[in-house]
Amino acid sequence: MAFKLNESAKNVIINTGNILSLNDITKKPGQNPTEELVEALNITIKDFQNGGNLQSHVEQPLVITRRHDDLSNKMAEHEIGDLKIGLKVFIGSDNEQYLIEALEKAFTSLNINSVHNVIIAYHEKQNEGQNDIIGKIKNIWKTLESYARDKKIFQIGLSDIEENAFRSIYDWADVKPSIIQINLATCCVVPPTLQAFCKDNEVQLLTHSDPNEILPESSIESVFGIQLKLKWALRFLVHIKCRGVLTTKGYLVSLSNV
Amino acid sequence: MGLLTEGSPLSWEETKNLSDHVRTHGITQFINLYKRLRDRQGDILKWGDEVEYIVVKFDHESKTAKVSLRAQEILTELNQKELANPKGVKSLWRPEYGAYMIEGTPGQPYGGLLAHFNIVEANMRYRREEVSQLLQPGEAILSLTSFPRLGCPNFTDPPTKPTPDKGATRSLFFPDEAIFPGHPRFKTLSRNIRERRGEKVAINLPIYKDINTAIPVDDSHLYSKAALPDHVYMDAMGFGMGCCCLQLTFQACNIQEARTLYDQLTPLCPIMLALTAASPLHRGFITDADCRWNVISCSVDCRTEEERGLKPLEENKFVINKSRYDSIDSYLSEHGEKYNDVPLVYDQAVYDKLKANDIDHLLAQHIAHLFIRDSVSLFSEKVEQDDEHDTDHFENIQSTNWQTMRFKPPPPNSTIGWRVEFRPCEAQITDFENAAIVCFVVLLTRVILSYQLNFIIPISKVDENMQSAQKRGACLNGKFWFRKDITTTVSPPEANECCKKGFVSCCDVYEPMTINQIINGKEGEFPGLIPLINSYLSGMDVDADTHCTIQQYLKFIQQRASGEILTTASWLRKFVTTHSDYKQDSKVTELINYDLLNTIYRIQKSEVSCPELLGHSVTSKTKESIPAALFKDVCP
Repeated sequence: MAFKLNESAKNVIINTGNILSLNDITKKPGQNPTEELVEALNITIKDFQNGGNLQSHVEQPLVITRRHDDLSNKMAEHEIGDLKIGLKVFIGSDNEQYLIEALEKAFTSLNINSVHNVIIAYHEKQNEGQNDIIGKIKNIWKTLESYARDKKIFQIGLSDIEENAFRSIYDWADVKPSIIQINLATCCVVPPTLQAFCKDNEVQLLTHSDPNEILPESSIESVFGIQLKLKWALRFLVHIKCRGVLTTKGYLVSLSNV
Repeated sequence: MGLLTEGSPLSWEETKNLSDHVRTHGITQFINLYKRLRDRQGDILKWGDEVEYIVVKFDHESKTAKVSLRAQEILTELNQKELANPKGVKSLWRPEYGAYMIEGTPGQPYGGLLAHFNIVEANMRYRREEVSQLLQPGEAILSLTSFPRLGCPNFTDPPTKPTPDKGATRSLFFPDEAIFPGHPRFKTLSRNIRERRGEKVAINLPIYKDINTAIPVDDSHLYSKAALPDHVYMDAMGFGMGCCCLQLTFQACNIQEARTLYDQLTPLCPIMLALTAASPLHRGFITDADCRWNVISCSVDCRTEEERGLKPLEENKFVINKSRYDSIDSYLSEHGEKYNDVPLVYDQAVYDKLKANDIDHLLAQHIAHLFIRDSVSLFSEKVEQDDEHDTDHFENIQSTNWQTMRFKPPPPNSTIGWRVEFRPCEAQITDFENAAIVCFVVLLTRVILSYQLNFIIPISKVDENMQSAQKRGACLNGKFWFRKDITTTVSPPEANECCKKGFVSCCDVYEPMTINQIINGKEGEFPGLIPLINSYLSGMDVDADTHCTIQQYLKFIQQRASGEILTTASWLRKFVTTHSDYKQDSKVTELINYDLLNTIYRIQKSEVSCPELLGHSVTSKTKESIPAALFKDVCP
């Protein structure tokens, strides 16, 4: 069942809430992150349509959430100091407003003032050219640095970035990246130079299993029935410190109807 | 088990007379510790493994392999390092039942970072290397569950003779010299169990019948009426407690989480037993069982004929359906309560006393059930205790209830929290395998807590599974009762098809599954434990090396479960039955035993590869310590 976006709403943000409580997702652990996200979006929209309010103002994005989401309960189960909260932002533009919107929306949704880490996965669509990726990441990085200076983010990092690009950003950056994320498929064959660089600079070399494009156009169309533009997608992960327990996981997705 | 305190053991008569004393004070001690520690909160994850090893002596001239009775000498040296530097050593060493056995654990527990999974195997290697340096020419340490010719003539070095009519064991096969001599506990246990039972223990494992197998398998039945003719008969505690196991302990954040993990891991005990099956060979024969469990269970079965239901109760209080070494009898968490479908034997007065002290029904009946047993080892120095602070009498009974799981209260005056011990696994040949099993189980506990999974099935079905798990080839061919729907969170009704079909919860269904289905999943029906672990890991911050290592461990377990590679038990069978000296008579000769143990030694040293046992990728990225960048993080 395709979702019909209200004509008047130009922007829509979908908050899946805590998907660890969605049994239908837990029961399909073999799904890749895109499949998982699509299913979470479908469940969220369905739940919202069954009782949510579709009215919205033109200026404000329509926010879609689940009625039965236990995100705030989950967050309240623990002292904030016992939690380690991480965000990963999937973004394809260096428009500063996009990143700020993503981070602010995450802070309000989780009802927090700061997070432990933020990792950026920068991926442009093929047809938009590959010019000066480093320059664009630097633009984004400046926004992240200001959050880090304000102590709203403790560690900042980059995902799926060429070793040389990572080094040049590292050398240039004021607040250095402390995390680099590589695809799980390559975790047994990390280039020794990258390994040495991470070791020498105490950069965490972490794995992920995300596809290049977290929410491709075809998936957007299957969920919404029409083509919308993905501004950004964000995954939040909440861990209980030192216990290896993941307590909350979810996605925020921002789309525009242009 | 910590370093054992030395002391003077009491005779069985004295111990028996103090049974009620130990029980009464043990219960009081538990009540006191419970009051002190019930509300303890916020402990982080700490965990550790325990691997037991056999010291083997090879004679390459005569092509024999025996157990070397030098464990005490070796341990004395190992323990000196610990005494000199208790906090700094990388390993701790403890005695075990056999005079040829030692038990090793990491010097410090592992913590709550995923990076800890990457130092487990390196520590296991270190331990093996540390012991190897103290060995004499021809000696080796093997993490082999059962020594194939234990109890055969001349199975020890130096040679010893059994003494059927005197000593602690009085076995036809197992000499007292093969019991660890460095501490009186072990011989005392053997003697007291025999005396309490009123006769020697009796273990009968069905023989694996090959074309030339003779029945009766030997002349044991001429000497003992307990010996069954088509079974391998064993008559000593050493046949069971002389086996090697792989155990794990983890600290929970509070008592509630400990209860949850205790219950949730219970249905996994038989599954892990089948998956780690490694002991088809006993007393020189190929048996029809793949695991040690029933052997140990019978080897310490101290129940009298009355307690076993063979005679009407006169002297004893209860008919007891299991040995003190067996799978657990009741669940401890609220989730588990309705699955306690086997009536629990306990002393009502003990239960009432626990209840009167504000201990809930589930915990009270668990403790009361443990306390139906008598002490089987008591030292004169430990009889009188301060019940406010000591817990020795409680531990006396608790630590001689050898069950699949153990629920462990914090020790007195320590920073340690509530813990759960996972005890079913058999020891594997290589450090890679043992590390894989250990990491798999610990990861599973994290998945259970993160997704709030529920594996609980009726306890009677777990008992059934324990027996199924030990059958020959169970890992590949066995079926095990397992819960179909393991999710618990209540989703919006319209999103959860399973639960809305009626008043009777259809989510409670369990059905027979293979180990492969449980571990790897069943399309459209059951998610599989490894896919769940992988899904969990995708939401965790895992460093590349650790993730590479974990992937190899999980792949190895997937292959064991699917049958792509052999279990240790199947591999041992195959080795013996295809050996040129094998006469299709179910016998493991001296020469086969030598070649087998020598091959195991070389596989463990990576001198020969063995893809049919280990798969093709057995080189993990394990390392000695955790990278500094990961420590900057959060954990102490």
